[in-house]
Amino acid sequence: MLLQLNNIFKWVNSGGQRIFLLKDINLEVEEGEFISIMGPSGSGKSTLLNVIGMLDAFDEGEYNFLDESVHDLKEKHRANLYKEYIGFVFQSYHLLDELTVQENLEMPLIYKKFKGSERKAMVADMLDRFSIVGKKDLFPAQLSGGQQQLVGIARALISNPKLILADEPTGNLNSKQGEEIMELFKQLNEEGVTIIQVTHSEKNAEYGSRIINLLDGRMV
Amino acid sequence: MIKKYLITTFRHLQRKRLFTTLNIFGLAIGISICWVIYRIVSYEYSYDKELVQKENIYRVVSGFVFDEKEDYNGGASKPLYQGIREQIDGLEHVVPIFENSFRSVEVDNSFGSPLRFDDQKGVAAIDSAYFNFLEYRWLSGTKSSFLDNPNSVVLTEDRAKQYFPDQVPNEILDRTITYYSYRDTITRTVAGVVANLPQPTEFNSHEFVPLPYIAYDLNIWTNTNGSDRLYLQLDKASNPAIIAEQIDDIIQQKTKEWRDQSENTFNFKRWIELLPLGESHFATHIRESNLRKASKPVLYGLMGIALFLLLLACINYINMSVAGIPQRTKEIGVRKTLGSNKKQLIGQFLLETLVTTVLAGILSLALTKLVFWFLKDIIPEGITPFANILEYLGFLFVLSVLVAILAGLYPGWLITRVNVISVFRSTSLQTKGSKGFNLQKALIIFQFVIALVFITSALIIGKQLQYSIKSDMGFNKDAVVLVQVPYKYVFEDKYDGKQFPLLEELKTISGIQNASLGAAPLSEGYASSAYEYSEEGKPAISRQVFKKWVDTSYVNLYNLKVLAGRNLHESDTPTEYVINETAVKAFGFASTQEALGKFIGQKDEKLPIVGVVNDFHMRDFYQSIDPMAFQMEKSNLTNFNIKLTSNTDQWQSTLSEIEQKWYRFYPPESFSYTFYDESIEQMYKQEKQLATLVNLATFVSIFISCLGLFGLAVLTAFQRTKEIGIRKVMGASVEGIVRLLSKEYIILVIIALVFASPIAWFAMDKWLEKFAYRIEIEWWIFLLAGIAAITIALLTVGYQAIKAAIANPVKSLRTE
Repeated sequence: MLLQLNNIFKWVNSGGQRIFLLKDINLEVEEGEFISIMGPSGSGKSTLLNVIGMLDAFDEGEYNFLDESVHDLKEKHRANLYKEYIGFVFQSYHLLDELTVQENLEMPLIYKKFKGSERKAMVADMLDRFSIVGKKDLFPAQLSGGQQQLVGIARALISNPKLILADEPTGNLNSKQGEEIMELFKQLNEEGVTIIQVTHSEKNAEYGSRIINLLDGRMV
Repeated sequence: MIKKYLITTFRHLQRKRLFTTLNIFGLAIGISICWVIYRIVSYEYSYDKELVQKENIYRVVSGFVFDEKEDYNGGASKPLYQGIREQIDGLEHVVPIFENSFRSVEVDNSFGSPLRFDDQKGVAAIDSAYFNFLEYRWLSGTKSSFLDNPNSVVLTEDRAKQYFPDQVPNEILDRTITYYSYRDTITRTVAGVVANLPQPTEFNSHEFVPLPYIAYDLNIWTNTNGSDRLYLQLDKASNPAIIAEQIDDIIQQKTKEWRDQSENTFNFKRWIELLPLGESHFATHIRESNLRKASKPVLYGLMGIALFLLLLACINYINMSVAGIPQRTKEIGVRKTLGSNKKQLIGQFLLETLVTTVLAGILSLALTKLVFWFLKDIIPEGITPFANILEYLGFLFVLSVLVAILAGLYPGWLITRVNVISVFRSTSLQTKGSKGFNLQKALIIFQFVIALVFITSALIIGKQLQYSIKSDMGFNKDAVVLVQVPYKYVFEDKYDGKQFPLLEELKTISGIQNASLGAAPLSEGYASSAYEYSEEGKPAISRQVFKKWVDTSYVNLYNLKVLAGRNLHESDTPTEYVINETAVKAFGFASTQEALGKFIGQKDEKLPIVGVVNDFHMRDFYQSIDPMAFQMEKSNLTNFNIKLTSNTDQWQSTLSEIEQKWYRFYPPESFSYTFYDESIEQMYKQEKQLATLVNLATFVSIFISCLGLFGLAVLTAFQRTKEIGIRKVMGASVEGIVRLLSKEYIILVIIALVFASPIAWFAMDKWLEKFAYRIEIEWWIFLLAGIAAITIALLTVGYQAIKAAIANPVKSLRTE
């Protein structure tokens, strides 16, 4: 089992009232799954994804990731954990504008303290795999949205994570580009990467092996 | 319309409270310093500006060459004015102003005991030319009644108030004032009161007595005294160069006559120069006792400092505004779509700048007082922070417009270049204005160059000052107290010779280790004469030798080392010399031993050398050590040097014991003491003032630069939140982010250091050149300045960097 959420609660206090963002979430994810999280705006999809990605804390409950109790871990350990096993893909790509495609891909490797030669090999490998070798020296602004997202996914994959978290990866793309990205996810999943995506689109959700629906922070 | 603009401007400034505050503070500091310096500079340049004929007025000054050194004296020999009046045409006025000095002045006061004033300054002997030349308003009395009575005196309003408080000018007429000088006593009758001249002025006399016509002896022609000033007002048609030549001819003629008559062979050169009145106040090369001088280089330096600090403040403004543009693109985009044109956008921005500057001007009202307080030692007397509020407002207006244009135009122009469509469409990070960012960096570098030049200069000046005061001067100055017998008692029979029994009394005090009479080793006053040494068969060697009159315990008290021979023996008149090592070399003796027994001195007064002491500093560090001779002559011993024991707790009681003893010999009010090390520090007053000024400039430039840096760090952190978020999600650590954010600033400071070091080195090398004894400028000073600047920069940006680094990336990466 990859991860397990038991009775997760997350809330904010606003004007003396407690507003629940996540309410009693129980979720088990096996390696190799492809999960789509759906629900209307404000239902807590992104919050849940951030909690799974360890970017956001929760107030109550247990979270086990690869037999580690995330809720007991110190900040630094948690950071090491997600650095090693999790890759992120964003709706608005979040590439660094002043870095080239190649440099964008290299960045996470620098933070994971890979040596220069290793980094070069891994970046070359990834460029090759996504057929974007010709674009390696371009800046993000010189790419189309679909191409930028491709780089975003390549960046998430570059250090071989076990889990990819994607927050509306096709939200900013046209339908053709979106389809291509979803196909790519499907293919990656078949290669063994676990994927959890947040999506609005029924059609995209269909790519997954399991769909989770959220409403007002609750799984339905 | 304007009202609408003003309201939005205020709202905008209020919303950006932090930046508004930073901007206002930076500008206010710049403005205050500019204003204070403007006051100083305009004061110095306003000397005698109300004198109508100013261009035609010249001062006669004397130049000399002694010992191959050029020297100027602000006076002219007394009889010269008569010679000029008799022999030279083309002059409107020839105005002698001979300052008299008196031991004390006693004013007949109708109520009770007379008022007594010691050492009054500003008493001048003048003749009819003076009141024709300067137009005084007579509050009482007349010119003729003054000139008709040789024992009359005219007072200025100020002086009259001092002598006759609470009395109107008419009541003062015919009252008497008694002047006590060393030679005689004169009682004078007040013949008039005149209004003060418009200030500031070089004509600073406050009491006028008639100058009688005297047929001077020939030898008086060769005496030049700085207190005998002579002014000329030329006819419009006269050529000053020709007049100067004619005057010089008179002097050369008289000198020749005197030489022929006295058969004097002493070789010196003297000439006359005409100094335009406008330059007189800035003529620092002329030694003068009663006139305050201003140095033009110092004033230029001050103006430079003002300009640089204002520039720093403007740069801050530019930097923060440019950095703030990305945050405002939306607003600008909306305005543009709604039909605002370029002019309106720039106008709006300039208005913002103007409002900020005006607010800064208001704040600087308070800051100016602070700056005045801080610079109180440097600001000449007579300058007040706000003499004329209208002048301040005018100054503020001109400066505000200047700053608004200087600081507002460029960011305003950048604003107009914002591309509307990209503003609305783009969801990614704004990279607009990358050129602007480079400019920002250049400006920050410029700021730090200035700050670093000041830091380095402050360090070097401080070090040189420390060196001048603290380093080994060849004698031990610790725990020495100086007490001087006031000059006015020296020649009074009543007190004649009293210093010697007092000295013996002092030596009995237990807290005193040693006491001696004699001029302190390093002191401002000194006397020198040309001494000769002649070996048979060789031409005589003549050297200028500094004379110091000391007693027998002096060498011991100051820990001087007798290198050969012996100390002086007790005597009433000079019978022998103890010289220093430099004198040994100057006269060409092979060794210190060799010098013993040789006769040196002025012609016909040669005395034997009985000892040699080590070299010690006799004057400040600008001067090299010169040949010196100790000699004993009782009538010249009027300074007490008292060495206290090392027990500092006892000092206070010892000093009061000294005071008690003093009262038994001299009048109580005459006692005052100084610690010798403090009085040496006093000799470097000017350097201390410079240090104060540079320290202030350092502080302000660092402060302003840091305000700018802080603002920029805040904005950069804001602009880069998204980037920082992405990097954190990709696994960057907090330290990594802090390093990333701080590194840039450190690089900027290092680049600034590269530019600043040679500038500071050049300027300081020039300054140090004037010192005969100076520190080396060492590389670590620049390193220290760099480290200081980097530390300060890091402290400034560090908080922002850390704050940005620990922020939760989820927030910054939310897609909205």
